[in-house]
Amino acid sequence: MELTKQLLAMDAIQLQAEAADWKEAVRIGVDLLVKADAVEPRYYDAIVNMTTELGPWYILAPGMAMPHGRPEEGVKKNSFALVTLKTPVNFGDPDNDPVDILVTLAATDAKTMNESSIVEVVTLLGDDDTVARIRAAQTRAELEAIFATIE
Amino acid sequence: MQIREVEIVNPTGLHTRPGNMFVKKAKEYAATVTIIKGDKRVNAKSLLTLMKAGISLGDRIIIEADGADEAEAVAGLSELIASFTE
Repeated sequence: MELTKQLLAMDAIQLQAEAADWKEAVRIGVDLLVKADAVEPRYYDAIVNMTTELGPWYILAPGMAMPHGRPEEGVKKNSFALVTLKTPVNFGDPDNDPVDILVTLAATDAKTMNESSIVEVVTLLGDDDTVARIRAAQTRAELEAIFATIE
Repeated sequence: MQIREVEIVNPTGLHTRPGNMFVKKAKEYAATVTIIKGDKRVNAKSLLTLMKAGISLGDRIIIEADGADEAEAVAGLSELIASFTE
């Protein structure tokens, strides 16, 4: 699966991270993409501003978020970042809070976002067993072992 | 049970923001709401499962509602889909 390959290749992974609130959690994911030269730092502001305005529209299911902005908000490459949190945070979505898995995504055009990137994320996070193992993973090596079984 | 076929008319389809609005609206009804696209049947009250169906511009989907307010659910959700412009 493209998503898991890319996460490992770009090293856009932070497991059992600590975040005080949803903004910090989003920041950790975006920072991974900035470090990988996949987005500009302003991508973070775009996501936070849009979340404040519209609410967290990218909460997929209980505990799972997929923060993202628009292509024109500083995206350089199609990319993903995976963050799991030691302590879950609330995004303000009573049906799905608290959240402890975030896949931040960035796409250079809307078509790629809708027809490829999102499909990859929901395929990965749509499998309960995989999600439980990702939540429990403490190290990159453990994550690689999980990904190896789903490819 | 009530069913209605609708066409997706907005460029983004039922992804992310419009998808989230659709799920929120579906949750307002007591009826079970299912979206059918081709041979896929998904729960309309979960964004994760809705997005797995990959519903895009030009797709024809069936909204199926089953429960006390099934008629209102089908009418309200069809109207919402027709109103999307994003």
